[in-house]
Amino acid sequence: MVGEGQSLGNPPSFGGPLLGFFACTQALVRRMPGRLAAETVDRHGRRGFVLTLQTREQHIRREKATSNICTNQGLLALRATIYLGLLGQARAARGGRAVRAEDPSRGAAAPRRSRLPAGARRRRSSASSCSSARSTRPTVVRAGAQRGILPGVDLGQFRPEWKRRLLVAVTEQRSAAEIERWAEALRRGGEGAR
Amino acid sequence: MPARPLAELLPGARAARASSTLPQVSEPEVVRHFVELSTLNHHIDRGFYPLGSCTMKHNPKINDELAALPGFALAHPLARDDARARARCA
Repeated sequence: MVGEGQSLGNPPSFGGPLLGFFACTQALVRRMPGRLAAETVDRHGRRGFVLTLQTREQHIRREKATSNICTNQGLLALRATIYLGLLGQARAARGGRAVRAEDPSRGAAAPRRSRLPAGARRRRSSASSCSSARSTRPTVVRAGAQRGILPGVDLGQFRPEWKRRLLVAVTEQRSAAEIERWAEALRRGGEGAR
Repeated sequence: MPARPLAELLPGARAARASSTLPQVSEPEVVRHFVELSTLNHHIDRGFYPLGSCTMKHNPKINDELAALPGFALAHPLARDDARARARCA
């Protein structure tokens, strides 16, 4: 099982460092890359945390070690831990629904608008055909950028059949007012006027 | 924007149930807990960093301060160049 943890208190930071998580069955645990910290008790019965399954560690059998691909991403894990601690169970559950279901002014409504409005199609102008400014119409992405909004990622750059589609992420960082502003920017961008 | 049920918008989507075991603590409790943990740990504000293993490498503080500037921290990797340029200027 793998998951994305960046939204747990870690900013996008232009693509890195990024936080993810993964889990596996006990049978596969020794083949897991990275280091494993586990809870235990000391000889006085006090709770503590240690690196565990040390046969995977580079200081024992370097050629078989799975821990030597590690870098220190402890700060990201710490941020995520503090974030979840501040959130708490009740608010985490509510937060999840806010983005996914309960508050449609956020996540639920956003995907519905993710199709670019008519006329917002990107048109590339090649050097040979670019004789006037009219050959390039502003995309909603560019129009948004001019208003200080990154409306989403133009998926057409990855696959032709995804043309006119935006990839949009909505988290608790975005207020309802901001989302309204975003929708308005999409509508304006869709008019193709400049 | 009008409210619409999730199932209608994202067929097959499943919202998480409140089955986690996150603690229910106040903000001051969280702050105190992690400040207390920091006093148990060796860190640059408590002592000198000797040359150590790969897990002990840390950035100079000024690097972290610069990386935390909103123009850097909030920049999306797939943002257009002009948006990134504006973010840097801001």
